[in-house]
Amino acid sequence: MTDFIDDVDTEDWEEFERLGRRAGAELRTAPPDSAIEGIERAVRRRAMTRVVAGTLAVALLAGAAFAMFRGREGADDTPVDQTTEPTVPLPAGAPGTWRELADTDLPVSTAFDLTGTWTGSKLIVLGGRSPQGGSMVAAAYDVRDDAWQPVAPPPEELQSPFGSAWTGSELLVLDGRGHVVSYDPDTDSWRARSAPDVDVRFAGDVSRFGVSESGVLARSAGGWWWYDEAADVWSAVPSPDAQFDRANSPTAAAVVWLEALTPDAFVQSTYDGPIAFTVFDVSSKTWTPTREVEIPPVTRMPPRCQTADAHLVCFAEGSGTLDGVVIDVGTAESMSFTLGSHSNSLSTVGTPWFGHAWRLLLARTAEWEALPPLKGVTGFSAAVWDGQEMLMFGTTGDTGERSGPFAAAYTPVVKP
Amino acid sequence: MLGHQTVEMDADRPVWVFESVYRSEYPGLVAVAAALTGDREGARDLVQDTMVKAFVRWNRISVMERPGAWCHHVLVNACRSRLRRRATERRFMATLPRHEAVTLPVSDEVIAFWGIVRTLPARPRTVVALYFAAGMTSVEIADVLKVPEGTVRSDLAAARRLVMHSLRGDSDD
Repeated sequence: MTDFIDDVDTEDWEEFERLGRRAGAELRTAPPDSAIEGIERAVRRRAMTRVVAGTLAVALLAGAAFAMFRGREGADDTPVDQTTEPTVPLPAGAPGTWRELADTDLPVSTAFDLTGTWTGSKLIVLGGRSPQGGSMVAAAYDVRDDAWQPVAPPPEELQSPFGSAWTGSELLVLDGRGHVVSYDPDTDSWRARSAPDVDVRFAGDVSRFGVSESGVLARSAGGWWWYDEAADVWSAVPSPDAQFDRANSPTAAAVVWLEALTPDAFVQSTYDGPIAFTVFDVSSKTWTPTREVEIPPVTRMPPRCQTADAHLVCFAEGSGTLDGVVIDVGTAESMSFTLGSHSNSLSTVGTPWFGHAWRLLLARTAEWEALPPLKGVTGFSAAVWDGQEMLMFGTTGDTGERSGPFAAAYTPVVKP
Repeated sequence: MLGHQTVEMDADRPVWVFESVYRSEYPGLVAVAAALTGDREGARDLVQDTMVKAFVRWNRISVMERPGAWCHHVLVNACRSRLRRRATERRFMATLPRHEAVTLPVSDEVIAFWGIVRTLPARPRTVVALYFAAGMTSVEIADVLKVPEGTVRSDLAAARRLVMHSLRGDSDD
């Protein structure tokens, strides 16, 4: 092993080798007989947790679909928890308070289209190239260390991240050009996933992709496609009701969005007067019948729709107000809301919360919670729910009181 | 040390068997973790965590040329996180006793050796641990750490000078 000795102090090398070999040998131990069984038990526990969570989600969606078919009033209101459960003990502040987090090495100042994903122990932040150029940024925040760590540079072909999800072992990332890559925090490495055979590039302001921990649902001019994360395979899937074809050429009055509702279900919604939506179930590869919900007449612009805690939240800016509606996708019951001034607003989603205008909405119970001000901060780029706190990060802009990247955590009073 | 023990599952695609990799890599992994963290009991936990991660991804890892390199790469990252966490804990819990955590009966000479190694900068420290504790060659270490082989050689040479000088109580460089 000393074939690369590059200086003349052979005696020193020999002593170093002797000591080192002995030091290494004394630390080596054979695995105990029970070690393999211990690993199998640990893996079974992990698998069981995922199966239970998946079964609950599928059962809930099946119940929701059944309720839609039957048109019955009221549905199972058991929450579908889309949040990756924490795998480590987490710190938390007092309810209703902010806790400022380390922002040193948070590389978001020049990033574009920031996304954040919670892995169970870390928040991984990705940002795209800014319009002025530059590189993708990536960093990981470890809640236990209160420190940001660098992440290996994402692949060159990856443009602004469109969406990301935690698969249980890797971060699945999709960009607006149909590139799918994944990041493994354990090895700090990226790998490219298989590419679709069709052109599923992001188009205009129409969201054609939904990303969840089980894969990607994408829509192209020629149809619909499902990317199975575990199998690394794209396959064609049925299209939903014909009425959604009208959104192929979106206009101001016909816009379509696609969002992950749970790990194994996606909701597609369109706006053409009423909000119309339908749910795609990954396991059966079927769409539920389309439902429609009238939105408040005060809404002046085509709304945006996002999901929070298996609910659809659609909102639009009016004249100095923010108008919206929370829709229970199981029952199609809706609750409209109007908020005051939307200037200096917080615009973020972190399951199970929907956030806007410095308020959090717990979608399942439609409870609003006003956030206390955070000095010098006017908005966030993105947020994730870690099971106890909403981790938020972004840049403050130059408010006079502070400027540059920052991160903070808010502990809600209302628990999901 | 990263000997190949492939089993022909089919003619075109030789794959590794988890248990054989586990048994062959375990001693080196535990030694590397103990060397880097100074905690023999904690080292076993880190290795178990690493191998659970490997088991979960075994479909992908089993076709790698050297699954042991993947395991060592993950383990070294886990050791770094453990050390960072320990540093954080110490900052906030100044009353923590500062004792040498190697728990098994190893010789004073070995304790002194690894104690000095742990004072080295992160990369040379890891290189020495992989070289002696896992018994890797410079090529294998370069593969694990994703650095050029020349960097490994350079780190090892620098580490040798510092360790031997410290052991001898030299005051020069």
